[in-house]
Amino acid sequence: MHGRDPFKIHLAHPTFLGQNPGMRSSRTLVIGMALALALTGCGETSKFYPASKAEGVFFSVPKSWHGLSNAALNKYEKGSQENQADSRQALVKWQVAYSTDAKIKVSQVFSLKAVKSPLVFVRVRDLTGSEINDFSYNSLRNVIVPITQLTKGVDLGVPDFKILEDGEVVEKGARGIQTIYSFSIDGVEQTFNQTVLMSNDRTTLYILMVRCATKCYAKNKKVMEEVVKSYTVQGAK
Amino acid sequence: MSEVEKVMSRPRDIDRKTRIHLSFYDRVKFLILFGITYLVLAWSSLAENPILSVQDALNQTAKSKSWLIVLAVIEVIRQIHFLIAELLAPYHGIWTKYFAFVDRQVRRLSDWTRFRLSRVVKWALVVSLLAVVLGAVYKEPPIKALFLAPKAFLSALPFLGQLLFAVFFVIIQFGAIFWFLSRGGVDTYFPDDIRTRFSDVWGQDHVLNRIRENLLFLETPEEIEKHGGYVPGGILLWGPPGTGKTLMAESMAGETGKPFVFVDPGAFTNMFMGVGVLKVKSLFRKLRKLALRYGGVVVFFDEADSLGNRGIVSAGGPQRNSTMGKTSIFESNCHGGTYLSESAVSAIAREKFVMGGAAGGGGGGGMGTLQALLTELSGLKKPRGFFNRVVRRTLGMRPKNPPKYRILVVMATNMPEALDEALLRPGRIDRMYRVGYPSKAGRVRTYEGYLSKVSHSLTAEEVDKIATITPYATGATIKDTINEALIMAIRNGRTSIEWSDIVKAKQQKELGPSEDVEYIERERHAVAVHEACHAVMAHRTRQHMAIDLATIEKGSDYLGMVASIPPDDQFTRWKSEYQSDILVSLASLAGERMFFKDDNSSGVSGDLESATTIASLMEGHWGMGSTISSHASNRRFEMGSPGGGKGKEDSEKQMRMALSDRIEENLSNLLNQAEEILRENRNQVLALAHALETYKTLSGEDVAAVIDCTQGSIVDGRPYLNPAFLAEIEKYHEASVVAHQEHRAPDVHLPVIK
Repeated sequence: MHGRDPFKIHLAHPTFLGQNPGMRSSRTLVIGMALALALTGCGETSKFYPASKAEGVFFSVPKSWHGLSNAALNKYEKGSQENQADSRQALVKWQVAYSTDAKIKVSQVFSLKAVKSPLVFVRVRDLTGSEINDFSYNSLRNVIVPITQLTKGVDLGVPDFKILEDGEVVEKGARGIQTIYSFSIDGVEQTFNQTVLMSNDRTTLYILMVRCATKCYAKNKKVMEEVVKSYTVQGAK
Repeated sequence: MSEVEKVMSRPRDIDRKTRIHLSFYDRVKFLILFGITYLVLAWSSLAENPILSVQDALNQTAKSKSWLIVLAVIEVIRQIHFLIAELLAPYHGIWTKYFAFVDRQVRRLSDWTRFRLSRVVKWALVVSLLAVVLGAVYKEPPIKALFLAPKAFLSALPFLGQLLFAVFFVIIQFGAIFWFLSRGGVDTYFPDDIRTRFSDVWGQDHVLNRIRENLLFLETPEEIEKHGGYVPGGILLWGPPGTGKTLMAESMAGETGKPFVFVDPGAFTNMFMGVGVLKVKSLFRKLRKLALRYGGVVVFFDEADSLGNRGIVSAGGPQRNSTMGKTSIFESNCHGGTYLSESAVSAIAREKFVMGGAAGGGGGGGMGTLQALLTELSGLKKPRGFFNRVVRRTLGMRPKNPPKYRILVVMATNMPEALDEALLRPGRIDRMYRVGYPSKAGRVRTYEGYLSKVSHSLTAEEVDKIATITPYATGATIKDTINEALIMAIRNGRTSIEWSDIVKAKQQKELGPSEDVEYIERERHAVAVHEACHAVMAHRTRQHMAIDLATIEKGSDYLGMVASIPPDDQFTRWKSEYQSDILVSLASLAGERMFFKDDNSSGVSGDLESATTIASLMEGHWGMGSTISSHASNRRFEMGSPGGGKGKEDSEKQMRMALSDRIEENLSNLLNQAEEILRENRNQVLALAHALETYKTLSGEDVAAVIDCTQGSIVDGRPYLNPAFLAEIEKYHEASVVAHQEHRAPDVHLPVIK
């Protein structure tokens, strides 16, 4: 009797040649996965995702926009001659601004004068002790522009003031008011889309402001609303 | 040609023309790892940012973690390189040659330099890794972060302290206790730490010469290695205690220019299983390091028997009787152990004890310690080190052979049979030297050496004489004797040792202090006659031993004794010598019967036992009887001895009877012979008995002087020539015999020499 040669059996199992069907499919799988990963990894991201993970604030802007860094904004604010600039600055935890205009200046961010291209400004700051006690939804509305006074008809030199939309916003870490309004300065009408939230523990203020001249706003409404929609506040960890 | 012959053994790496094929898993495992890492990172950024899309998360990760891509690309290149090397022999050949070239360049550095370099590289790697990590943590450039770290460390110190405290409490039960336990027991001496030299070891020149040779090879191993040999790596020194094994090791430490590691006998005895193994491993790690650093190292295991064995007593190993208990020849009234020759004593003792003395093995440091030692001494020569095993292999290079660690293992023991057989095989212990009792020349040298340290008035002849009469003296006993002599001299108000001090010290050391018991007269006479019979018989018939001393002073375990020593170093024993040994043993029985009118005391029991044992061995083992065949093999093959019975059932009984009959016959012949000799020497026996009663203790010279009626060193034997005095002694003896029979004091008192 001539039995099967164990050596031959061993050699007829050429794992490295991949003749085993199971092995072949696993190879295909691995190579396929690798290719898929390589392809997905090679693409460009479609958006910027500015975020402060510490404060739990996220939003996204299209890739074509241009940013002004936290540092640049801080520096400008410190340099301003305004009273209490320093103490106000000390409250700011994070701020960032984006615009479609590559030549946007920091001063334009902090001025109420109309801009010709969409501008996003996000700021996270602490509330002072008295603010914590005083703040109401009206106070939130009035953070940038004294909306309450203007609606009462007080003339502050900004004609054509009107509120387009106003509603409550509840996020995971904060709640507040979103207001869309427009007014004119120097004869140019502009639209503001502002979301001002106060953290659930009433210590932090989250400001998102998207604005543009009203014509520009109408033109870029979709993209600007996308930015507002992406705005997410999870609150500080 | 058969199938089996066709099967070749797996080719060595060096014989292969192409690289060995990698399995598919080995090809892709790193890529899979990188892929998984990438996915995990992407997933984590997804988790961090709630508004991020999957696609953007993947893209973002690819961008921010580009090092991962770099690694993956390197891995792909490496795999392509391997694949080509697997398929194309010339390509693989080029790389093999290149790596061989690199190896040659590297090998120009000495092993120690390479070790140091690799250590520097390792540390640099660790520090730079730390710097990168810290840089990431502090968001600073790595170098700057490195300098920030100490500050952070300081501020974290209290917290770390707390943590450490907690950890200590948890870990101490396991890790720390093992760590602490695996310390100790190993001392390292560097050259010049020890002042002992070979010239301080006396009387073991033959062993020293061989050791010197070993050390020479340790210093210049190339001498033997370039001819294809290897340096003997192990020495076992064995021999009786006190013969200078440890001193020899100490002198080795002093003599060699290499570090000397001394391993305590207790180092491997542990409370916990596994600690011994750890210890052996750490010991050899240390040895390898020292060997690399200093080009060689000597390690000495003292009392190597403490390492234990695995239960098999090495067959044919030197038989020793160090654990010998007391046999009746040692507790007998007159120390058969002292007047018999050494070989006869050891034969008796062996016959009694070694039979049942199968050591059960064990001992040593417990599970695995010995085995660990065995593997460390000659285990697999495997590549060591992270770089060697992992980095080189990753680069596709062959691992280097381990450097030659030149470790000389020296072990000392006085129980070589307790060592494991595997420990003693060549390759572990290549050379075994018996460090025996020093030769006479060595003893003279040793006496001179120790005497030179004290003030003494001994002549060269006297030193020679003391060396002669102390045949089994070792360095330790000689040192002790000299010290005892010095104590005696000082007690006697002298500061210089004299001959009498040495003799007294020797007696004191050998016999112990006498008990100062005053015998009643008739018993004193009986003991004196007993000893005199031994002494006269020894003097008359035994040429291979000289009487060292005879005494009737009662000691701790004897009434009196005749001690003998061999006058010179002799290594064979003869029938005539054993016969005279038996005659000396039987002299007491023959004498007591003759002098006390067929009465005899139980004091002869030990004498009879030794006489019978020697007679049995002569008859059954040594071919000194009437038959030739060996009883030892007869017993082993369970066959009868010549002249045995025919019946199956009774064969053993018959054999025994036949054997014991012959022994008894031999003994009674010898007893008759002894009686005859004593009858011829009646006067001498009584004279010696008188001298013993008078002086209590006689030196060998004085014994001879009394028997031969000459002037001895202390005792004058000439009065015993005087027939009138002899008559007086005879009369005293008669009176003592009467007194002995009637249990009263003798009428006649001991005659006094005028």
